[in-house]
Amino acid sequence: MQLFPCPFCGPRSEAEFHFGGDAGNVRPDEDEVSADRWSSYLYMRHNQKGMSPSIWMHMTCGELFQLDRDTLTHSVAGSKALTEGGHR
Amino acid sequence: MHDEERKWSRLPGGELRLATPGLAIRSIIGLSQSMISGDLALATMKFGVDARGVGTGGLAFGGRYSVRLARDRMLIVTGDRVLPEQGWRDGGYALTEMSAALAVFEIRGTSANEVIKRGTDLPVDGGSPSAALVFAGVNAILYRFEDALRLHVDRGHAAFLWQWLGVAAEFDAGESDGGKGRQAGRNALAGPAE
Repeated sequence: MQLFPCPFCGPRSEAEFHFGGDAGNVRPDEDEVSADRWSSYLYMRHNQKGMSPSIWMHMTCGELFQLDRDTLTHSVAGSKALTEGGHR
Repeated sequence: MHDEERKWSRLPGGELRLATPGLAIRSIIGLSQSMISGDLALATMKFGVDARGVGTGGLAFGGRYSVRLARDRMLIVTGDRVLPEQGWRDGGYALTEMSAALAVFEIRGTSANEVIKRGTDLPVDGGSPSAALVFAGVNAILYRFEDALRLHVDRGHAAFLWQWLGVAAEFDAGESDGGKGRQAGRNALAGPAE
């Protein structure tokens, strides 16, 4: 069991969290979106090796935040509420 | 029609009690619970409760107190009556009546912390700002109230949690007193206290 840091609640069991995808994968909002652009948004993942930002939700309190963790070691560098701004 | 009712028992009516040598658990009936969403500073000032609210490991006391659920959400618990002004209020908060939505159990005794350890990964005195957590696999609210622990759970999960508490109590009693307390755990679903 790994502890994830909810920006509001502090360290909690990973089982209380839900993965929301890569940080920075912005939903296209143009009037006309190409098939390639939609495909990229829906299916293409960076799958970064090493430190990687991702979006998570803490299901018990509803906090939506960016978690920075290393995909090789699973070590967590930090978390930041999306309401705090500055996320990618 | 698909029917899941046979998978677990219905929660008996009335006040429930369960006692083993190191544990006393009871359901609490009649608490008024209202959830605040939005501007907590304004709402807590209006209702005269602590603006931060207790989190897991926090200590609540008295006849009216606040429990923190999230950055912008809180539960106000009172022993007497439902708070007035349900619904969206000018100033930026909403008040939602939750008394029927959440069942409340109170746990006390020397083995109380053992039960909590079985139900959650969180340290009993973890000091999290929020009292909302996953307990025994379901969403719940946990905090200290005077010399006991209080556990709120969605009413739909109350029967499961009461059964879970009975099994946990049975297990602890079986370990500590050679089996005398096991029957108490087995009786957890027997019915209301007499």
